[in-house]
Amino acid sequence: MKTLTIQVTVNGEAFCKTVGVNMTLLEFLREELHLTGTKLGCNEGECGACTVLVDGKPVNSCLMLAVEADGAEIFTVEGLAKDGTLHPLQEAFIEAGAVQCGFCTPGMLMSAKALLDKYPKPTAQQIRKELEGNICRCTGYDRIVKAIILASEMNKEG
Amino acid sequence: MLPQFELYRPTNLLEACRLKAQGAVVVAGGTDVYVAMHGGKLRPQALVDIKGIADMQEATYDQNSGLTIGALTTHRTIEEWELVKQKYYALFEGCSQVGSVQIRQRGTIGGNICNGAPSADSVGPLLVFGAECLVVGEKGQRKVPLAGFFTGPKKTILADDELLYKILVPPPAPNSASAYIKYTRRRAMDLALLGVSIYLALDKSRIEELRIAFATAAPTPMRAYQTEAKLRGKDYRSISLADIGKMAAAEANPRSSWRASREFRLRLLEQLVQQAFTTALQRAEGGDL
Amino acid sequence: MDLKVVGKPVARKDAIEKVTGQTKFGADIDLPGQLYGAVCRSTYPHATIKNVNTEMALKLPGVRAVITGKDYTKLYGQFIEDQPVIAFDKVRYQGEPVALVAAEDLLTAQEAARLIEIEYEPLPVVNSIDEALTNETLLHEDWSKYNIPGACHPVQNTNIGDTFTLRKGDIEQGFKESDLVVENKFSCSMLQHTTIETHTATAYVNQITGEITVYTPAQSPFTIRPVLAKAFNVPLEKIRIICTAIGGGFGSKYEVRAEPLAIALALFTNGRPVKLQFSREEEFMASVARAPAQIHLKTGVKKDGTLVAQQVKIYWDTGAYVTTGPRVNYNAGFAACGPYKIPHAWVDGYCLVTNKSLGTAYRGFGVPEVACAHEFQMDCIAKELGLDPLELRLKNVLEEGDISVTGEVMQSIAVKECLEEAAKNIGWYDKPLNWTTQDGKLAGKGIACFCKLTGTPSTTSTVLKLNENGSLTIQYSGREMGQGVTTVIPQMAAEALGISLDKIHMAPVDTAYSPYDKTTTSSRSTFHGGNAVLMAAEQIKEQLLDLAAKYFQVSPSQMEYVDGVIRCKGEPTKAIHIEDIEASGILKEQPPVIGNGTYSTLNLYYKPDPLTRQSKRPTVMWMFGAQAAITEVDPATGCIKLKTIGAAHDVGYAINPVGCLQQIEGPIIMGLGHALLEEMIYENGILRNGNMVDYKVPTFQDSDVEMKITLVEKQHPEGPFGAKGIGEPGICPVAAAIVNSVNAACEANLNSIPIKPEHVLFRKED
Repeated sequence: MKTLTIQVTVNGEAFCKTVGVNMTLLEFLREELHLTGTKLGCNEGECGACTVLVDGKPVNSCLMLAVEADGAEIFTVEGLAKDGTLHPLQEAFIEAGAVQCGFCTPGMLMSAKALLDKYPKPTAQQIRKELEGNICRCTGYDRIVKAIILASEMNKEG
Repeated sequence: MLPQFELYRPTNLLEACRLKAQGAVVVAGGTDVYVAMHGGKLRPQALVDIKGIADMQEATYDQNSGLTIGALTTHRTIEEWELVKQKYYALFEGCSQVGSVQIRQRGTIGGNICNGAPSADSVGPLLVFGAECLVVGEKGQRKVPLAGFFTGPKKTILADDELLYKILVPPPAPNSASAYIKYTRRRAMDLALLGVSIYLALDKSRIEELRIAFATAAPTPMRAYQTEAKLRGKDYRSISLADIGKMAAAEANPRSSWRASREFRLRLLEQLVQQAFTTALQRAEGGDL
Repeated sequence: MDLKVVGKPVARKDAIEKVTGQTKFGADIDLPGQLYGAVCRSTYPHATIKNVNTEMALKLPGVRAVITGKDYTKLYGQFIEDQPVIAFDKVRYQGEPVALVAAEDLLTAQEAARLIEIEYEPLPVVNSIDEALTNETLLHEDWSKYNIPGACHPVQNTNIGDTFTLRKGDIEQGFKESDLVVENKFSCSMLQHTTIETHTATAYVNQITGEITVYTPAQSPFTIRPVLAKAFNVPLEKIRIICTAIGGGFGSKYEVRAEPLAIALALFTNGRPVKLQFSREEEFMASVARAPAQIHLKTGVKKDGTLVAQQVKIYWDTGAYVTTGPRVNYNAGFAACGPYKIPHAWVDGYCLVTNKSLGTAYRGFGVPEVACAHEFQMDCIAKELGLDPLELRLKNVLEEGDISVTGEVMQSIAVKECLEEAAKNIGWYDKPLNWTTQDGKLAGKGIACFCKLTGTPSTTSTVLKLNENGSLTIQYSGREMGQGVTTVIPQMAAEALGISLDKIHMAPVDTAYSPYDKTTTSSRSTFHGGNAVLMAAEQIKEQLLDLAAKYFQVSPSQMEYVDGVIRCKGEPTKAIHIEDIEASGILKEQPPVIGNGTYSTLNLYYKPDPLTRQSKRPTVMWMFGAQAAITEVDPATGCIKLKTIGAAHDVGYAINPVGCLQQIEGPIIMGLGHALLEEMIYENGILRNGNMVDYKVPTFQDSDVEMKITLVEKQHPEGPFGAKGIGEPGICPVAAAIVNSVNAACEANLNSIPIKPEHVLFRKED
């Protein structure tokens, strides 16, 4: 097969689309659904800018075919804030000064979300380990670690 | 964008073997295949995605036969599996250091093995645990020791129609421990510049069993058989660590490249063998791993 | 004056957009009818192009344009016009564009680019500074054929694309007067900025009027506008640059890169836009880089440590074209002797062309490299004389009223305080130079300082528009690239006008309507933009006072503007707060309240002598700082771990203290990468590690470094609220401090970066 019709849920909304099998999940999100919050940084799984959650797990959407997401629930940065309220992670990233150029931020937030789902009260060491696949060139990472700890203390997660 | 290809998604193992025999490139987690395709280095006519084959996903443990790991088991599954941490610590250390969480979430242990990279993080630990490969082809299946799986850089014994189906890892001895030390320039998201895996079983201070494996120390992942044989049965207190390092390093055959020189790798190997041995020893004596 | 908004840590104004994924970066722009561009790039680092066959590519369904160098032979360049948009006679680096394709979709464009057949005749490859210096193979046979619009000084019949000299005193005499003369060399590897966003541009051309529009994450739209206008032979006003958000700059988005390629294609697509996004591989191979450097130092010193003479020779490997090499050469030349009193000083700088990617602007413009060299030299001198490295520096640093190597009487200088604070931040005074830790690691401390000028002269304009409800729109072209300029500029306007920060908005940057700003580089935006905004705010105040005077029927001279209150002196009832301006009705049916501010440093600037560089004032703002490092080295494996950085930077006045800290923390980790990890490895002109595994920027796991940072505030007399720049200073001393700490730890003289475990281990066997 060269095209396939897939059904996916993205940030709670259901989509049914026919896509080429060679389309990556990242391209599907950005070009088919126009959800451009998820970024293309390297297309080689080395920067983490394209991180999204597939059934709750963080993956590099540049290294996954859109057709592989058939039936899955996808969660992207656009799904974090709800009803005009920022997610605690978003609030914490702002408060801790964990954002600079902002290009890595969407992927970073997705990895952080997965981390907090796994470890609601993470240590700095756990954060550094679980986010090792997300590269940031601006911040030096320290404020991102602090932001995630701050978000975990807001205790509103989930 | 990925170049165009025909995608097959069989749910039947033999169907997958047949497609592979016809030239389709096998893809599991895609963490290597899609990277190569994005970069234009791989342009397959057809891909066969084997993730639909249900029993290749299964990973189980039995106290008599040990681990049976379906080739599609992800690194993340191994990393998060408490039993692996209890009994096969080096395997936990290997799998938890592959790429990143995102990569480990998708990348499979079968893919790591079948790539045939000398730097594969899961292979060294599996080698020292004495793993075997269950290989399936159109004509049937065969069991091959992992140590005999690699024939050259990026080359394996798999025939055109064959797939790595499961990996069988015998249970470790109760008085044993293991360690994997991965040496990288960067502390994450890096390939092993060198890797040393050790499995050590003790009877008090006597070395009942010792297995040593290296990553990136030769064209394929390798065991240091001669060193193992020389030390088996010895009292570890009677051997100098430095000698173990020297002996084991002498069996390696790393190459010089822009990544690192041969002499540096050899020098480092001596040190890493000592560190891995000491770590395994401490774990064995501590009795907790 | 009691300051209410500036000097306080505030959350970035661009943060909400960024955490919600709404910010539009280069690749987030999609235009109706857009085509996709792909580049056929040279596989050879140096070769004559014999033939380009596009037949197969043109036959591919969906291909709309295929163009080659023959279609466009104009050369471009900001300093020297030596670079073709598309190579036509020869290629000079691996990855140089040889042909371009536009197609209906990206895959078709990429496939078509693959189908282009190029016949090359390989030429000898110049891979290094040393090879370039032999002049056996010339990359550019005749410099004199090129137009030179900027300050660039190539040497005919050589590979030297630019030269720089600095002369003070009599260097030979200086060495004669010295008790000790120390000679050393230091080398720095080639680095890639590795912004997470690659270069991207989307362009369209009106075929009738010739107007060119390009969307790009450019750092300096007003610098690239004339370059593009000349390259495409249109008047300036026919180039419109619409700026997208920048996903990391660090200098990489200062040059034109994707823009000319997208425009060149758009000339041939009958008005349809062309979007072009570099892959990561292209970014490494063929965007921009930090030039490798070789720096030779010869220093004469008295027994007591007093510096007498210093001669510095700097060789930059600026790659295949000169690009911004001359500016790097210039800025680094001024900083090459460090922030020290040296009576006799000579500096010679050379930009060399080689068959590699383009070595150009990178955060610090050459200063981190020369800081590595002069600070390595200081430690060697300290060792020879048996002095404490900090003590040696303190003895020689420039202080208020001292004369710099370029003949300036220094003012508002806090380098001494920075050194002392940085030292305190790592507990310098309580520690020996090196020690062994409990777990057998070799530990050491090191310190480094630097000076860096900001580009002078330059001009920045702003337009402040007061909206009907008392909110404010700022038009200013300093580009936000994560450094926080779109937060500090509103802060300063808020302070000046008493308008609350959340009612101040930055307009998007578009050369069609945004006021001129020379460039977002050189750590200049807070200083220049801030001054311009304060001037514009004064105009707003005057206009409001006039309007209020009319309203209250008093003379304008009776009015005053205090903390956002427009009031009549001595008459408390006659007052309007800026927040109530709409309700007051004083703006109704009146001319718009618009303030202009232009800040230029032309009148403060004394053009340095072209040979000696002596000048009363070569720059409006010197930046100073110091960092100290503690490093541990594993003697068994050579592994190096940076434990602590103590930093102290003179920011003049911290407009947004948290922003200042961010601009130091980020560079500390970036500098850790430079010192210990990062290098572009070329073998005979071929890049070996052009991907993000093999080119190793620090990850979370590499960055667990204790950072203690002090903001030193020695107010600059001309800075807005006394503020100075901090975009680049953070990076300038990091690698130098780390190198010195590693050398202290293992009692070595490692003189190149990155320092690898290999270097540490094999030094031991020496």
